[in-house]
Amino acid sequence: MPAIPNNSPGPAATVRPVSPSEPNLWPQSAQKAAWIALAFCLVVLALLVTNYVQSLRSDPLTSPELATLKAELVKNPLDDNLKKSIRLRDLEMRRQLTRHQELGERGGWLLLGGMAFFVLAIKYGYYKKKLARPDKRPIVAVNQAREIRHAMASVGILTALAAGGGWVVSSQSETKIVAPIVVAKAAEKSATAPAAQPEPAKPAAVAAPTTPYPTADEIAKNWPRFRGPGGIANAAYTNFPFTWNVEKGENIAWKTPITTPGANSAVVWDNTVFITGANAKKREVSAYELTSGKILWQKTVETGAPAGTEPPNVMEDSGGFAPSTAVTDGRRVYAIFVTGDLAAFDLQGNPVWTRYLGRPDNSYGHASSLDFYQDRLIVLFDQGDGKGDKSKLLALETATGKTAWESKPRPVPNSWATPITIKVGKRDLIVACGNPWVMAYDAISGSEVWRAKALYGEVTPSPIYSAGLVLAVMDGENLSAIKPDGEGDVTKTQVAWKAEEGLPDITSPVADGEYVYLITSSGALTAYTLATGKKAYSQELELSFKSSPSIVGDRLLLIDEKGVAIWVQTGPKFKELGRCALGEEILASPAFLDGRMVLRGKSNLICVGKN
Amino acid sequence: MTMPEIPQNPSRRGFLGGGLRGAFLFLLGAASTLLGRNTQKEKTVWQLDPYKCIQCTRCATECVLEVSAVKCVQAYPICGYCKLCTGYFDPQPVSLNTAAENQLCPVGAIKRKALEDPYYEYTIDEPVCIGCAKCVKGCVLFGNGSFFLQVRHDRCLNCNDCSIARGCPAQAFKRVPASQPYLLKDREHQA
Repeated sequence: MPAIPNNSPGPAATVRPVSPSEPNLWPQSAQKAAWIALAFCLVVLALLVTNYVQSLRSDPLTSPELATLKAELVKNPLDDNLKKSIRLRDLEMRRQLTRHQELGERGGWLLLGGMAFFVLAIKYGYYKKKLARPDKRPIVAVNQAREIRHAMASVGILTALAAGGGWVVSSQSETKIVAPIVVAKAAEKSATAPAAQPEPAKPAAVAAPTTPYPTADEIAKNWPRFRGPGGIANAAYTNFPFTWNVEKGENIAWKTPITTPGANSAVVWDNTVFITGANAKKREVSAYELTSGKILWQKTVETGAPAGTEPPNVMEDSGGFAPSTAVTDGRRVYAIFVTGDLAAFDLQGNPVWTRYLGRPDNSYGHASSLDFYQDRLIVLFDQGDGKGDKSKLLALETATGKTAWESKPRPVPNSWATPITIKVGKRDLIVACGNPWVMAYDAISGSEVWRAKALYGEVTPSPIYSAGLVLAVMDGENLSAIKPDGEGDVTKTQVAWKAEEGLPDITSPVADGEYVYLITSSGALTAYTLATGKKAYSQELELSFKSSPSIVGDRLLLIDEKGVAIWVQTGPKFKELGRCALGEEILASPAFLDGRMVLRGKSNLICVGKN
Repeated sequence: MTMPEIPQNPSRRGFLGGGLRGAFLFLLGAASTLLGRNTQKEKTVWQLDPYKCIQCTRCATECVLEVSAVKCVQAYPICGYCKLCTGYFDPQPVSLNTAAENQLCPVGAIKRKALEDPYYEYTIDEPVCIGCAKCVKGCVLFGNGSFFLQVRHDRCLNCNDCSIARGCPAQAFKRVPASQPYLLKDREHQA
């Protein structure tokens, strides 16, 4: 091609000559693209029709299969397999319905997009005004190559669009329907459990502690009291199995029958598990080996009640004669019973001291569990109807059982919550709940530091301390978050926030540092943001709970009365991670140790862990 | 060449006559405008009268939309918050929980939440609801009748040729003013 001379005096300007051999190739490309778009539309249309026909078959409104299954269930209401079939079929149909609806909607948009592209392409490719071209020449090979490139680019874009659309459809077609709650079937009593009383095992030789009370590190490694260190039910270990099968013994380290009934929870120190049990005639403290489940010793606690003392009021639903959880400081184990009998044993089972606190004036039986602070045993002994100065908080010397201090009479009636010990600045406080006061006492002297009017009725949930807030709750009043650095009546000054939904009447709250979780007896799980008290979620589980919830790493563990353990993801949204049956009634709260979880069932002490 | 004709001043009679004609035309226009405005009909939309509805399930299938524009709604002031809700549970529930075999709703669109024993709150998950009226039938037969169907106007196409209205055996569909598009149940009417 000859160069065009630049005769202008200014800067050199290049002029691209219009070559008659380079015709506009877009119309030809548009023609091909139009046919591809048409084919695409036809494919989408065919898929839409297929989807519609299939959706008619998965219409849950007219499903004869589901109707037949339900009719069969009416005849056989106890057929669990039939129930399972209905649930699976129902879930499957709803998934299909949702999938068809989503496919239909997205297919419609794809079809619309394809048609629009087709119309534009056909308009540009075919219906363009043709001008007279007197110098029309045949297309040379180089232009054919360009045309091919354009056509291939169009096909590529269309293919990418189709693939993208298909990916969107397939990725969003996963159903969001949550399966209906499947109430886990209580497992049959394990056939592998020994029927006869096992031979007592010899306690392992452990070096005797030389200090009067344990360090914080020692406490953190064990499970010394109700709901573990601090009473906050936060597991220090997460290295035990989260799934198990009691019937097959999978991930069940051992399972040992319990000889004396009780609703209290297991406490653990080193390799020894302690529980208590009682009936109308006897009271027992039992020790089991953590590694094997064998009974180490079992000791009876004689009552100190004078002859002719009226037996205590006891309700089996409230825990019977041994609802209070024992406590151990690694030097001794301490137990209290509804009769008002208190006893201490060393870790080998030798009695150290006993003390009779008097017959508790309690409507359902004394159930508050023990705590310890340094070398003092903390006993919350609330009684009566709030009159007559009967209720008090006691600190006993752990070595002798003698009273170290006794609080002034507490202005509360009988209660069932367990106190906790918290550290506020340089001061240690014991927080105890009753109707209507949450009260904090100096752990050294027993003098009252502050009180907040925050409770109501028969106070049973125990307080917890998390993120610098004392959390106390009772159904009928509020969940109150109290800043613990006040003095005097702090009702109007130190209550950071209150919440009033999903309040439990038996179980205690649990917190993971960001959220506090409540589970009611009827199965409503509610989470609140710890910092603000704003409700994060509420979820109905439709199960009954008496065991308090626990935090294990980033999981929340709930155990219902029938022994179904439910793992829930902690955080702002409810997400159930799984369920596992323990096979028997569970009222107690679990203990978490290195590689093990110990649970007291109605009939057995169960240890979850690698076999 | 002729001189242009000098226009003559209008006569008094002509001036008054022209003025009267103008005023008449103005009044006629104003009257027509007012008359037209008064006679303009208000825009209307389709709605389902809940007291005429016989829960035939056709609302779920007759609508031109793939998921019907008719949805179940809940009148909370009327609801008894029953533990055994006959709008929620199958007529012969095996147990009173949320398991699929016990639910009446074919798509699980009713959410059940425990309030305080024995009271439960029932909420309709509208995007899931297909408007089949099974729950409405159960609630009307044995409960307070707090569940009822309504055309949801965020979904309805308002095509003026409602296929459900044509298929409704109870003639429960009617045009209602767009400014008041819902026909709600109330406690006084229920009583």
